[in-house]
Amino acid sequence: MNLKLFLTRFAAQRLALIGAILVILMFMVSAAAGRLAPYDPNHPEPRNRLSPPSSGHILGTDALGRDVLSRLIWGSQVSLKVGFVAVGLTTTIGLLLGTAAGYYGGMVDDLIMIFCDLMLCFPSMFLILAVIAMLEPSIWNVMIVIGLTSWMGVARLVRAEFITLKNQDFTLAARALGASDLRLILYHLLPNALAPVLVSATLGVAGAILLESSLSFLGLGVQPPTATWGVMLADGKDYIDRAWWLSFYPGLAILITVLSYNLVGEGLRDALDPRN
Amino acid sequence: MLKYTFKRILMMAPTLLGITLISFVVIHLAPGEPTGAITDLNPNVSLETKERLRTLYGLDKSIYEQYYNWLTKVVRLDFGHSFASDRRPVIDKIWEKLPVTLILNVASLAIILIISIPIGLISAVRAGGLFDRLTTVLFFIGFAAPSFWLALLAMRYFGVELNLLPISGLTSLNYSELGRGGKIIDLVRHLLMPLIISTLGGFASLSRYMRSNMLEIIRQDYLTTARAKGLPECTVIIRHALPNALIPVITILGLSVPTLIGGSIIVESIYALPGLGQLFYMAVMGRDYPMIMGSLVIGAILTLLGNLLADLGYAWADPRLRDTAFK
Repeated sequence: MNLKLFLTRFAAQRLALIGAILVILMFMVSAAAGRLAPYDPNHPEPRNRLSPPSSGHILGTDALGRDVLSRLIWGSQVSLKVGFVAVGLTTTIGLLLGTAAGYYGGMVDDLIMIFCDLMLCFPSMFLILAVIAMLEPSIWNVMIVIGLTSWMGVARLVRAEFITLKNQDFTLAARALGASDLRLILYHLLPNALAPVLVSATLGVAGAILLESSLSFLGLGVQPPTATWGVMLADGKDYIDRAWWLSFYPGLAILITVLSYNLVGEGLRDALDPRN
Repeated sequence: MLKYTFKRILMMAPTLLGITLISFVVIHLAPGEPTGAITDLNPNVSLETKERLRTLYGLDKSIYEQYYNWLTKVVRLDFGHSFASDRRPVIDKIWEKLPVTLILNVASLAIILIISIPIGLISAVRAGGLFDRLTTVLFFIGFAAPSFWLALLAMRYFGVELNLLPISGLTSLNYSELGRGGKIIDLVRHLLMPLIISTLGGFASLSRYMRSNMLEIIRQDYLTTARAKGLPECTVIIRHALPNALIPVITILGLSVPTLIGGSIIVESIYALPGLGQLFYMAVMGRDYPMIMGSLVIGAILTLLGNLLADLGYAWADPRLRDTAFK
């Protein structure tokens, strides 16, 4: 599909377009965090603790007197990083295993699919927490663990695409011309299987951001004082009866971010679907 | 029916073995030793004691031997004793907490079904209408909202501001003094908020699924036939289209079991409910290895059981399968 056609079809969906604009905005905010944030995110003002939103601190201050807006802005960097690194890992593993299973079939396929099904038997939160319990909680460990425990969907997708593609005429033609396995996979099969992977990766970013914030909220993800949305919510939890702004805004930020990626993902799905 | 059920259960055996293998590998591949949680931070532990503990837990043996020994116990549901200060058997603690998690999850599955089927149905029949567009937007939002955030907001609004519902625990302080009716009301009041929160994420996806199912079926020829016979639209939808749209929902219900069980970690720890999720969270925080491995295996077994029930339900509901499966 050419780019122009794709863009027209994507832009025709109002919700997807709104999502895309929000995603771009968020990229800009986290890139310019240093300039946009009115205060240092970790600078406490002991005399200005738990002050409600006002003209000085637009979104109020937390229990240590740190500016909530500045922490939100810096927190967006963590979310973006986690989302993209974790999904990069998920997609890489999923592509490798899915390709191997779908292209070679037989024993390789059986083994990979059994492994995949077994991993799917575990409630993902249980598996993730069990691994995290053994490691030091840190942003890198969170990204790696999310990546290692959520590749199954991508692997199944890629496998299914490969199985339908590998017996079609164009594959046979390429093989008849003497293309090697690697060439066949990289130049003929993979490009045709990328559309659903792109959709699932976009939705995956949303999922990873949500997961990171849950882990940080539970105290098992990124550690304080780093400003992340999950950590901010965990901090705000104890003041829920007195200072609603500590919990409300970080949660809203997560909601909007996850929503935007989901909207873009759904938009991509519809725009890339050849049946439409 | 019996034969099919039996076959399906037999097929679970290798999966169970795989589950124990993954649970074991996950814990043993990670750096650090299981006994470290007891010995590392305690200055009074001598090297000798460390060695003795290692022997006691079999850590001086090869990894294969360790797995074999662990497995022979797990088959009898013996997961060893918890590292927590009570040192009780892991399985006893799990049995004790399981009912709360099961009640919570079964009830939220029921609520999800009751709400999402009619919503999905109406949005499909009036696809593109105001109701359809409104619910679509609402579901996207519901799907993206972090459950722990909604839980906090609900606590603040219903618990603190309106003072309508209790914000944590399973029972009130005066629970033992209440009559039977009072006890039930007290339990329901405590479970209401956690239930609503754990339902919100689930019914968004199920209604969307129900909607696309219905849309697919509404286009089919046999519905045109039904209409051509002069049946009222209502009968066409409820009697002819709905049952066929419901069958695949059974599979989705089975698939949502692990998400629900995983989600109970967050809901239970926020609302301080004594369930499996909270137990597991405490185990993770305390690096209680036997407890972690035990809960991991039990969590996976619950998922398997959910899938089994879904498969049996599917085979029972789908006439094409019923004939072959239940001969």
